[in-house]
Amino acid sequence: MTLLAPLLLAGLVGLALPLIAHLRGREEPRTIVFAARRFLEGGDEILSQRRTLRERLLLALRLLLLALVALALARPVSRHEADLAVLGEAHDAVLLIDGSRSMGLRIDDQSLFAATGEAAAALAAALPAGSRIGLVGSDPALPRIELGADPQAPVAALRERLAAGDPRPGSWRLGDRLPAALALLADEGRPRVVYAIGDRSAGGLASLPTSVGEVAVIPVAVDGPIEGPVAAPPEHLGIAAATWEAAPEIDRGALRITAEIRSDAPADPDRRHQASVALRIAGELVTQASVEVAAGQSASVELTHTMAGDQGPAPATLELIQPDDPLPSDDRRHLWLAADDRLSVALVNGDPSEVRTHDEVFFLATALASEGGDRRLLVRNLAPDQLERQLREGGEGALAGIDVLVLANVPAPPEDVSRAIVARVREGMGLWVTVGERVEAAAYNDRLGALLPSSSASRSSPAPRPGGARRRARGWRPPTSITRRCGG
Amino acid sequence: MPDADPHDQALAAVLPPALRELIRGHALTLGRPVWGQRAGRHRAARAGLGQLFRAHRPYVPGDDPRLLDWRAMARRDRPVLRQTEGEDELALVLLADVSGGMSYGEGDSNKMRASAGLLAALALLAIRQGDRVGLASGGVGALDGALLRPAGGTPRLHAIAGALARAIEGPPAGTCPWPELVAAAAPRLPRRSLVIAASDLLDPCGGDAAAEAALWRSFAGLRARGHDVVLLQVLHRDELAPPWAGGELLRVLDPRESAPPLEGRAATLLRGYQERLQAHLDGIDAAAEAAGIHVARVISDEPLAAAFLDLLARLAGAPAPAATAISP
Repeated sequence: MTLLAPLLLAGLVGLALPLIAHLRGREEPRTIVFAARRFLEGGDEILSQRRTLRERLLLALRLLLLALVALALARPVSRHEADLAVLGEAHDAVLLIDGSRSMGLRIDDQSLFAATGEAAAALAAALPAGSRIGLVGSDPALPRIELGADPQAPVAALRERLAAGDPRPGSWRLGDRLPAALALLADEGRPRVVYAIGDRSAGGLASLPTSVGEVAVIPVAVDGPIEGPVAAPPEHLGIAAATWEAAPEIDRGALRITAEIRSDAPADPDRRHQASVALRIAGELVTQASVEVAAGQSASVELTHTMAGDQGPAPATLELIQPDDPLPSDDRRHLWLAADDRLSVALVNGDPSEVRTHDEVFFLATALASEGGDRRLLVRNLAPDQLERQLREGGEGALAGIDVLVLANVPAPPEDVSRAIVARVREGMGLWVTVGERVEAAAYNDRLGALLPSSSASRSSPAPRPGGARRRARGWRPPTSITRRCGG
Repeated sequence: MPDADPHDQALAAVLPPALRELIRGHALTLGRPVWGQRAGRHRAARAGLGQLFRAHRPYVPGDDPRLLDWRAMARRDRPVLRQTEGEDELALVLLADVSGGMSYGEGDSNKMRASAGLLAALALLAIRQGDRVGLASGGVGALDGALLRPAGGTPRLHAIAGALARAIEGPPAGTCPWPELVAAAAPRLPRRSLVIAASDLLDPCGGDAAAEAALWRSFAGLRARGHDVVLLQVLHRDELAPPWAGGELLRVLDPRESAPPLEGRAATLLRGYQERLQAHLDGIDAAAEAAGIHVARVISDEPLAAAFLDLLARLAGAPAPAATAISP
């Protein structure tokens, strides 16, 4: 049995009242001084004892009555064989399903995620008549069912999702998804309960409070008794890390993919595992490698693959082939692979200077050019008119090869150039606008306003320096950057 | 109007006015002869100077010639003396139980008050007749024998009244050492004394059966020495028929403090009470009869005058009434 409001058990303190009443209200005998006491019946202790026992029975009944009242206020719930606790009266219930990756843990050839279906079905069957039930999951992709009188509707929707396979990445903590469950429970004067079904991990049931306001939160653990200790995870292999890099020494377009395979929770310290890792690109197996992993240790495995010459970035999956692995959620890693991973950066200098150190983009260009030793940034310097000319000659395709466009103190791109920039940014190009004296804020707002985080403003300098007044742009907080990258 | 004399105040406190008035027309007479030191109003066990003819006896030198019966000498032709019955004073010794057992009862129904009233009436009557009266009492585990030796006169009457008044106001407490009391009185009794022991006799020896038997032997010893012994048993009506019944919870204390308290429902406490009390009273009657002792039983809430008249009649030789029967 579980209590929904255990604090109300403090009402058991009230048990002292009948006890005090019993002690204080004990019948006082009438005292008589009687000369013929000698002829009175002896053995009155027996009678006194019988009287005391009778009063004890009365006391016990009083205590029992008060204890039952306190227990009723604490709202006890019954517990079924499946370790389910269900409120004994008709109420509104929401099943909050833990869809995190830890639920992929397999015990007895069944994942915890699959076990949530059985627990949900048992809960739905145990609900008292007149109850309403809804469904929400910690993974937003799990089905969301509004409150309804049909207890099987959420169960059917959940089973349909469970049939699709193990939980996917991207789940929330159960405690963070509790508001979504509470949103389904409108306060209509009926008891409201959230039945959270999941494991007892930190992001699972352990992240839940016992109640939120008047809504009780009842945890339903699928990995063991809710009061019992959390069992250690079973021995399993997983991909601890996955990286890739270009391998030009092998071939143009060749990639080197490295995976770190780790053995967790070893049961036998002398055991060695033979792990096989496969690389799939767009779902197709392209290469596979094996490695031996000592218990409790890590081992690296390296795979190589050569991308086709015209092949752009492609989604790839690094998969640990381990059919009996009890925790398959860490057996797969997703990557974006590309033959050329260099970024093309175009610096449009709006205020070039003959003195290099006075140049608007000198420091930026120098910094970008010195980035690392692998030369993964291709920096090009352009004048505003060069950019306009390339666009007008080559059309919008002129920006296709540019990953990041930097407009450094450029007065304002013409309208046709601006349209091409906006279109390219929507495709994934990064745009970085640095503000300077030449910037025409109104033109930027008109032509690139859809991309800007905030509108710009201009003002005249109140104290122009010798040499004449110059317009200053104001309102942006440099550096202002707009970066949108598509893909990995 | 209260009497200014403190001695009279003590007597008035002990002796109810109605009883005092009753005494005026009555006399204390015994059904058997006495043996007093001086002449009195009671028939003596020896020849004396009374009016009633007793017997003739031959004259011996030294006899008073005025006692010669000349007519008898003429018939018998030798000197004959005429003897008459003697009339002696009575030695009345009162033994009073002033233990806690006598404290029961409210107002005039108080056992000690009833007992003291009867004893004071006897003393007053005896003193008025010229008899000698002594008093010994036992309470709080000790005995008081200062007035034990019988004496006559108003001072003795006042002394006895004062002692009884103090016993009433005491109030009575503790136990009465009956064996010691009888043992102390026995050697100091004049010949053929009248010993009146006033008590409830409910538990004279603290429940000790052996001591109780020894006490009865002591009373029988007094009787064997020629004394008249009267047990004046003063009981309260509640002791004959306790007024408690049913489920009332009682805590019964022993006024003599010789037994631990009893607690329980009245119905349980009183189960078999009257049978045990009846057996006890029957035992007293049987033991008294075997020892030649009179038992006068008095209920404290009944009129003392009637009880006193009955007592006088018993002393004068009236037969004992039927044994006390306790109605169930």
